[in-house]
Amino acid sequence: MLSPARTKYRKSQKGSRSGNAKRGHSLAFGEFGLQSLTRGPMTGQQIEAARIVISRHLKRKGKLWIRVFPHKPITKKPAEVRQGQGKGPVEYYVAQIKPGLVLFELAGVPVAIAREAFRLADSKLPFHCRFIVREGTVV
Amino acid sequence: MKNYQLNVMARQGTGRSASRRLRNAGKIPAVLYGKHTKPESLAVGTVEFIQLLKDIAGKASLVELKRDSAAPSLSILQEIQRDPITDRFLHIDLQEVKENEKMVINVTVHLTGESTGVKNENGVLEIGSHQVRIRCLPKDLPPFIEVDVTELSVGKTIHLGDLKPITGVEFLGSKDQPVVSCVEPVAEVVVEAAAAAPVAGAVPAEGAAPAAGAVPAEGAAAAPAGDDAKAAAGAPAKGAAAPAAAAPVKGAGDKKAAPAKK
Repeated sequence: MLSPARTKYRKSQKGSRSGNAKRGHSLAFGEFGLQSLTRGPMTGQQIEAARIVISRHLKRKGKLWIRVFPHKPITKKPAEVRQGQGKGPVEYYVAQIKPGLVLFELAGVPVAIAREAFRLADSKLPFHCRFIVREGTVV
Repeated sequence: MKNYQLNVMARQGTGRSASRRLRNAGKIPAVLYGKHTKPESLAVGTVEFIQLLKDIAGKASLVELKRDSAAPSLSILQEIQRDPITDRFLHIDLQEVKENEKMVINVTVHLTGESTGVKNENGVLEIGSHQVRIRCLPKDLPPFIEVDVTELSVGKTIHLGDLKPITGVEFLGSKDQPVVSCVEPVAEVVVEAAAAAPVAGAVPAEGAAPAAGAVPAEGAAAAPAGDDAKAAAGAPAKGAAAPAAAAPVKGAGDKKAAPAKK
């Protein structure tokens, strides 16, 4: 599961996810990409689930880039604990996803396989995504 | 080489509001700048520009700007800004060039042939530089930089210095800059290596806080889920980091005990 090796501060405030992605919204490495259209948190578990489903569909062909990383710690109070007594412990980490962010990139596979792999990955994610292709790529 | 033509008109307003009005009116705000001219705010018809991009089809090309007030000038498309979600054109940067003056431009790399690494060794072509920066006269501008990858086997890389020289064209950048390489399809390993290290590191950070009992429990759950030797290796590291700390299950028990104290 993806999580930071060490963090400056253990816990963080909720923050906001307003606006669109100002960076990381175009293809940097591969020919095909999965781009978010709405916003939401993407947990390390979801990144892993999407990665697994993509790599299984590719059957060791092609090359995959993961463009997101769960930097933000999310805390949760344990079960059956009353309110108060401070913030709960860190439960998991998420990546803050804004519309337009490219989540995954692929290269070295036909477009049909890339499209299906990303469709399967999209079904693991809590926000809408779309399939994008680098300009000039023959599909 | 063929010159493409584009009708442009001067625009008065600048800034966000004026640009929005312009886009709503079916035009794209643009700017023309160059070494010998002052920057000039322009507007371009959206439909005409889309047609121009279709004609250009990714080639490096010169665009002749036609204006009512001034003589036509030669330019290159320096940058095209698009909305990442709607794909609507936001702004165009045009750079004026002179016919007798060398210019610097990014040209797309085109791969030709089928690599032996892909054909016989199940490799994957990884393009290190989708575009190459060159310096040349406008008349020498190549539409693409063609790279023959037929001889490329797994583990081999074509660098910028290995590209076939083109008359009148100078490649900018380091000669060691990789353009295209043939690699084994091992994307998973890269990711898992990155994933395994943080888990091991995260545990001591959480273990430092006595109240953070839930996080080791999650880390322990992650180890079998990873079905990986690296993930399994993460477990002893965690145990070594906090030997005195209770086992994950015990940690959960501690949390339950906490409210009882209250």
